[in-house]
Amino acid sequence: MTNPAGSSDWMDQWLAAQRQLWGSMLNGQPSAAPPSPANPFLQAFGGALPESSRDVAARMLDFGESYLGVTRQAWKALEAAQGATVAQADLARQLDSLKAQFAQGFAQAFPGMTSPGAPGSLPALGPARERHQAAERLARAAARYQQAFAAFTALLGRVSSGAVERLAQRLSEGAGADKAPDSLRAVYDLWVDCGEQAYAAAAHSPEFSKAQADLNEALLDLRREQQKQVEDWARALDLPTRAEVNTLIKRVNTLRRRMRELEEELEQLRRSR
Amino acid sequence: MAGEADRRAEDEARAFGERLARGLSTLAALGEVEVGCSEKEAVYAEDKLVLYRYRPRAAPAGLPPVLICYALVNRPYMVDLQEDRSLVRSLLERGLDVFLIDWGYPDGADRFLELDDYVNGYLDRCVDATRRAASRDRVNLLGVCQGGTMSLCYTALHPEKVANLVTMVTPVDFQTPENLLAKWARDLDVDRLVDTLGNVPGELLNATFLALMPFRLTSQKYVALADIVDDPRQLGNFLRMEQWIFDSPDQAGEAFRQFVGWLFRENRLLRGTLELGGRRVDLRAITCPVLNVYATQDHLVPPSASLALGGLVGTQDYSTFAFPGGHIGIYVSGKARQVPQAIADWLAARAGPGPNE
Repeated sequence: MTNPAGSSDWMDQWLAAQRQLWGSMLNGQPSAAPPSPANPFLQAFGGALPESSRDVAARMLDFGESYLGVTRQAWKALEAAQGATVAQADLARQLDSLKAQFAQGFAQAFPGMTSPGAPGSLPALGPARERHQAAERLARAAARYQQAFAAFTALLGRVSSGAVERLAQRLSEGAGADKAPDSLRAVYDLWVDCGEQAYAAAAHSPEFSKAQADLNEALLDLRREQQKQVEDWARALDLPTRAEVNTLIKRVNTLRRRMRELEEELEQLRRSR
Repeated sequence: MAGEADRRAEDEARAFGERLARGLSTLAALGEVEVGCSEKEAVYAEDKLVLYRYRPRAAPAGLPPVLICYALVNRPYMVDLQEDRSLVRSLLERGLDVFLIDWGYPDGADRFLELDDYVNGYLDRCVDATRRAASRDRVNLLGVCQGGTMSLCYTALHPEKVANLVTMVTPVDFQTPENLLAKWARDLDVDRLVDTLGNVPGELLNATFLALMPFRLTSQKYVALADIVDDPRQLGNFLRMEQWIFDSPDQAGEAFRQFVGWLFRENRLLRGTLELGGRRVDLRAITCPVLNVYATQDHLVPPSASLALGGLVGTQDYSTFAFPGGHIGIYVSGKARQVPQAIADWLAARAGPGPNE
């Protein structure tokens, strides 16, 4: 198969990497090299893909790669659960690997949550005291956001551990009852089921809701401190500030409402004649 | 035995990789997808809002015009996504005169719009424009999701302009136990959110919706995409859905503050304490026939959130229709055609006595 973007080379390379990955797994040896990233595919196809397809293509490749990674670990765990001669330590090792994969899955599920940098510590002295204080407030807000982010990430980590435990349980039950998943897709679907169950159990809890709200509040406080600094600079340069624009919008809205009321009164007067 | 299983796994992985590669070729060959399939013309416009009237596709059924009030969240072309998945087209084929409100994309100038502006302002003027265009005194109001909640408020406040009310996947009780969004909303400091951001970004809402079922909605559906890469038609359907899901307008800040605060947190519609424009929204004032369409597998608006309506409206003619599917499937699944069929049949059975009933 050929294509207008001439991507067959990339296709061959990627498929070769996949064969290497799976060949290594089946031999029980760590892969000599990770599979090539999906992005080169996109780089090769990028110009040929319609605008409306690019996001979907990127997600398909990203999650396709993740799918193969996760199922690779789960398949090994399944083998460990089934093999009578496999030591318990092997199963534990496979499950630890799975936990790492789950953690990665959660990171993909919450892509906007990136950890902020460390806050600074500035003394508030001299004529620039107010600016220093503003910078201090910004630093404190950043620190609080970092703490909230860490707390929420820790909570998601517990969810991922719970998900792996559920998966281990289901794999063990399936192996014992001779109902083990018989395909990678079946293993993957089981992983998704376990993940959603563990996540739902946590997401409905007050602890989750509060941690999420704390994170949002910390992020908003940080944003607010940034806005204040921008407003100060705009005012200093005699540029319109957000507060001033808001005042204008409110005044326009008040005028529009009053105008409509008058139009309705006028219409009623016309009708009553 | 293990060797055989490993070989099968290797083959499956290889086939999966090959399908992904073919999928890129299919995506490249598909071209841009288009959404919205039925012909329509604008009959009224105001600020960002446009009211459309669809061209007829069958002999008129002689019923009052159907005005579709979609949610502020997401875009209304979901009800006319493509030819074989269109609520609008199915209604047109039954001879109904269909109008649709497109709320547009609010920007910074709209941040102080309130629920009162949407319900007693925009929606009321759209109802009037529809009545004028169709030369009818009353409309059949069809509210979808959040648009259904607004339609309930509107009908309670302006009952003289609504002949029949249809609500689709509409939340009424915002605090039923299985409503995960409501649980999260209760801890959300919506004042801080709106005061800081002004309008609420559509991306933030999208992230929240995806977080309801992150494994299925962010991973599994893209892995499953590999199953349909050889079928351009199914891939096109997927792309249209994908475009709709991520085409999320920002939300006017004040209206969002009120919707979350008054409805999700205080459940005012259910409790009868909601006021808009200085008037109490009393659902018992709704005495026209009401059809409540809900989805049995709805994870966004659980059936219990919709079914609460039954005990609250004043009408003696209250019906429900249970769609066996989810919040999105009600428009686009293979079973979705039964919904417009049920709505059209229900409306036909309540045809008024004349052109200006």
